[in-house]
Amino acid sequence: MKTSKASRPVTAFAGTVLLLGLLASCANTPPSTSLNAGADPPSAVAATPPVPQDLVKLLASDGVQVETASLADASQVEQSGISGDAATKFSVDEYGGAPEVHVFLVRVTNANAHPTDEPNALLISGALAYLVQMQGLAMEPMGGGSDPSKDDGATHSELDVFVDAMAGTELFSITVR
Amino acid sequence: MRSPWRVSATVCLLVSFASLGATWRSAPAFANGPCIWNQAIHTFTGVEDFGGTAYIAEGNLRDRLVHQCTGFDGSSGASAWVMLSGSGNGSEYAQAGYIKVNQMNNTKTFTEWNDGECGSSCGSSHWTRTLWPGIFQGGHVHEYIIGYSFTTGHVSMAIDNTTYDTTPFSIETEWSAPWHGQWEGELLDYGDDIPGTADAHATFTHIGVQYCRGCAVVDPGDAQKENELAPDTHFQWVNQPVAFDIWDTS
Repeated sequence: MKTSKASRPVTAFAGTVLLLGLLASCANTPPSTSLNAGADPPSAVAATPPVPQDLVKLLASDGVQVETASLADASQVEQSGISGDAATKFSVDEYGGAPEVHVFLVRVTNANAHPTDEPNALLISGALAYLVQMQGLAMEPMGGGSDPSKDDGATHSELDVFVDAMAGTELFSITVR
Repeated sequence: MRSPWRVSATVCLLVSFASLGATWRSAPAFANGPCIWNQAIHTFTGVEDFGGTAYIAEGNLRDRLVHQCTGFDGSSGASAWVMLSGSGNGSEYAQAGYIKVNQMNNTKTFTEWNDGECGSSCGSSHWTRTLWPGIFQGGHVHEYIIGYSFTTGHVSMAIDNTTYDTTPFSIETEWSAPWHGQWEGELLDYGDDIPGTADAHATFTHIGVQYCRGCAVVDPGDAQKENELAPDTHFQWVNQPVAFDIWDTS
């Protein structure tokens, strides 16, 4: 909408006041309560999104490559795009919760789960997805009927849940470690 | 005609349930028991085929909600699935079906594979379970095909004609021969319920096996029923050897 000439000085003044107010507000912002709470103030280097090494290790072993787009902790998921109806489609509690949860925003760049495979049914190349890493779990393999596995060494401790960043719907989840 | 005692008993039951519902509205329609063990002890109800080396195992499952034991103490859960397995030990397999374990809120469709090498020094990539939202519906039939590739040696896990996962290894080098088809319900704690209830069985139909390259999928040649180790679990052939039901009455 165009602004009339008569109102421009008023708008400019109001904008200046608003800007000053924002600056003052920023100066009083309390420390972050995210995963980095207590860490040194962010620097230019720290602003670079950390690389989720576990994800890279997991997917690289499967021939899948991802690019890290940004990092968020669980409390920031709603602010990062999953909100409203979409937010109700995903819940960490769906998997029973976990002692520790980390959320990464990633972009899948190769949808083949394995080098010799057809593209994964739900892992879409180019898709933006949230990777929810649920750590501290204890998951055992199911085993076959004739001689089920009873080896404690086979237990995995992490479940990685992939969530469509646009729709908020779960794509799939996979055991790790 | 209903007998008077039966009618009055029904009324009493209704009144009892109504009063119970006032204080416990989430009372389940099933009666699973408390968790007994703090570690998984796998128990199976279903069929394993010994008719020869299997290259494909397939079947249709009507999915049913999984009811776990109460008072989670570390490991519980149940599942139903179709599997292609090796002969070396219980850790050589690729499977697809539905599952609810530990503290999951809902039953979900899953695929899982294992190269059989998970020992005390097992790394992270020897077995993987993947949960697939949106497929499990409760009471619906899905087709599961666990198939060996004569080109790559890998095994794919397909649900309703869509491949959801593939082993990252050739089973020729990782599994001991012969390979078998399995169709089972599985639980991890005697307090868990095998899928299916007296009123709504978990059904396995159209189970079949491919025994050679290029051959058609045929009926299992030697389908043997697993022992019913868990209390209150039931197995019944509906059309031997290609269809059976399982259910739990605890």
